[in-house]
Amino acid sequence: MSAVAAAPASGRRLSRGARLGLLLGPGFICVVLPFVAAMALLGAYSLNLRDTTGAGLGLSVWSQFLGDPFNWRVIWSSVQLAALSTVITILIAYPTAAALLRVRNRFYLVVAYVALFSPLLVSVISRSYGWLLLLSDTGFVNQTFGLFGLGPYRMVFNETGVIIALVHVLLPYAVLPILNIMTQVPPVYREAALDLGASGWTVFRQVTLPLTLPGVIVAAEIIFALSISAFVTPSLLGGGRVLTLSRMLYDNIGLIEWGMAAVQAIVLLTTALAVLFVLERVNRATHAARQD
Amino acid sequence: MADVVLKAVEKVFGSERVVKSIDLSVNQGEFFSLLGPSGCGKTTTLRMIAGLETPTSGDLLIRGERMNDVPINRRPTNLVFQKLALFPHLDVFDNIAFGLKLKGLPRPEIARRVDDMLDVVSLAGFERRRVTELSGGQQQRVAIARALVNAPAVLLLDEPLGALDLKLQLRLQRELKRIQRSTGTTFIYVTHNQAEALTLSDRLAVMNEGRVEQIGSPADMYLHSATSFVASFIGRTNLIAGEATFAGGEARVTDGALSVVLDDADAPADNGRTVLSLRPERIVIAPKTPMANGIDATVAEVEFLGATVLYRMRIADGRILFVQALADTPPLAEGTAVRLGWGKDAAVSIRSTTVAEDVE
Ligand SMILES: Nc1ncnc2c1ncn2[C@@H]1O[C@H](COP(=O)(O)OP(=O)(O)O)[C@@H](O)[C@H]1O
Ligand SMILES: [Mg+2]
Repeated sequence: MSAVAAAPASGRRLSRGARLGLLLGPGFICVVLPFVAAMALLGAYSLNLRDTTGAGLGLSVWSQFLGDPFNWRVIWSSVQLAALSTVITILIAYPTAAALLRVRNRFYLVVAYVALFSPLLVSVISRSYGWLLLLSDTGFVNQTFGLFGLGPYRMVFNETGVIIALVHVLLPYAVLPILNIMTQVPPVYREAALDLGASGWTVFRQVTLPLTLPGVIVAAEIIFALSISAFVTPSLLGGGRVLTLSRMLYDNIGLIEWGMAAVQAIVLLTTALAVLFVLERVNRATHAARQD
Repeated sequence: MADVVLKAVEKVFGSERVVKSIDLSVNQGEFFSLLGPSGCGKTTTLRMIAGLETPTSGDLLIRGERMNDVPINRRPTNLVFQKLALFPHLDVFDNIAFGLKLKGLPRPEIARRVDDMLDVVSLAGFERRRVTELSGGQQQRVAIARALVNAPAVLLLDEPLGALDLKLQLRLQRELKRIQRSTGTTFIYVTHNQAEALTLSDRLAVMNEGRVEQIGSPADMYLHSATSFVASFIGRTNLIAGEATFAGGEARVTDGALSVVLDDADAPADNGRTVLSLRPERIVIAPKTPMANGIDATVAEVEFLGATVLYRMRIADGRILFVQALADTPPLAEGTAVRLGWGKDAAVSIRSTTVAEDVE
């Protein structure tokens, strides 16, 4: 009505919607569009759109996959492997982050960061072969054990080797979010708990851990998603004896089994999302209790 | 009986001597303040008493026991932090109960003591509130309750009202005093606010650059300031420095255009420089009867404070004298020429130290 209200947000000024569109546009085009397209394709393929078996359009691939107990065992062992890798990574990442937080000397800090991120600088292939050499029955680690009359322990071509190699490369992804939240928790909470009579362990359990838990959950989400979809490391260090969902999926792509690959891709994604969903729920619950 | 004793306590951080040989003795049940400008070492001193810092040298005693090597979680003290540090993941009840639970008290006992404490800080009914939902003043009271519920021998408070608005500060000051009186707990209270320290304290120590300048009651501090720092930090004063000459039972200290006469007993007998503190309210404007001291001045600035008026009066050598008068007549206009006078007992002799900056 008034002159002010009637004056349009004219001239060069973009409307709110247009500005939002410009900001979100690139991300939308690069991430959301391909994702939706890929999901649509996967869905279609899983219904036998690219028929290679002559069974015709339908749920035949789904029933073939889900009807085989072997596949369920692979799904379950993939989840277990990813969960175990996640737990071990977090258990190592948490004290690592706590230690990094306390490093004051710049030089040592740089050294620590380089060491932490070094796995990411090496290609997955050479890294995995490096681990094979270290962990094989006659490798450096078993030779060292041998000096003490121990071993040799089987650490390659089984879950142990896969987990060791996964934890190694995933550690930095877990340290960063945990370190990030630790820097946001002021040391005064620790001091307050000590002043009220808490021991170091009680401070950790009742104050530090609850306050840093959101970072731990973010780290767990990242590590789980990365480790359940990893296939090079499980393939090389598992030597074909550790079968994971992602590995099966990869093989089916190689075999041009589009329908089966699509079903497995969807199952893999669903499994990962289900675990993320649970973790997110835990996060919410603790957030609510943390009353931000 | 002394509750907290510091003997020649020092704290060095790196190459910086932050606390320089402090001697203090705080009595049981006393409201004792550490007052001083920002950065003078108050927090560091308090943290040493709490056990968050270890003295570099010297002895710290609480109830007669040496505490230097007793870890923080085994000291009979509790600290109210400057930034409160209420646990954000716990509600009001669990924050206050934190220390009691660690002591392993039975649940009903914990509930009873937390309830009592909520009454003391006027927060009954707030048990299940999230601490982040509380106002600044309420959070403040939770912080005090969380410390006080443990019945510490000594409660340490680090500028607990600093972040609040003035009105709330004044109200919580009265509450703090009431809580301190009703529980009989020894309070050691850190503040840079001289008005707050004067209002609350039974005794206080004024600190400056890591040293204690003077310890005494608020009135002592004001009326018998020991040093120029204390005189100018507590309230406002005119500092006069010069050589004293003695004649006929009188001493005369001359500083530029100012010449102050006082009883020779009140001026130090040594021949060095004498420093005097002359409080603004001891100076009389246009005295009706002749006074021992007098000087001509003109009004340079007028600050109307309500009950009183603060004048900045310029004297012959261009310097400013603060004069404070009751506002029982309309204030003098700027530029008015006046005669000022004061008695022989108005100026007190003090020790010269760094002068506190004029903080307003
Ligand atoms: N942990 C520390 N390391 C180094 N210097 C410190 C530390 N804590 C305090 N200081 C220094 O000590 C001086 C006194 O600090 P503080 O006790 O906090 O003063 P106040 O509480 O009176 O403002 C300051 O110069 C401060 O920078
Ligand atoms: Mg301080």
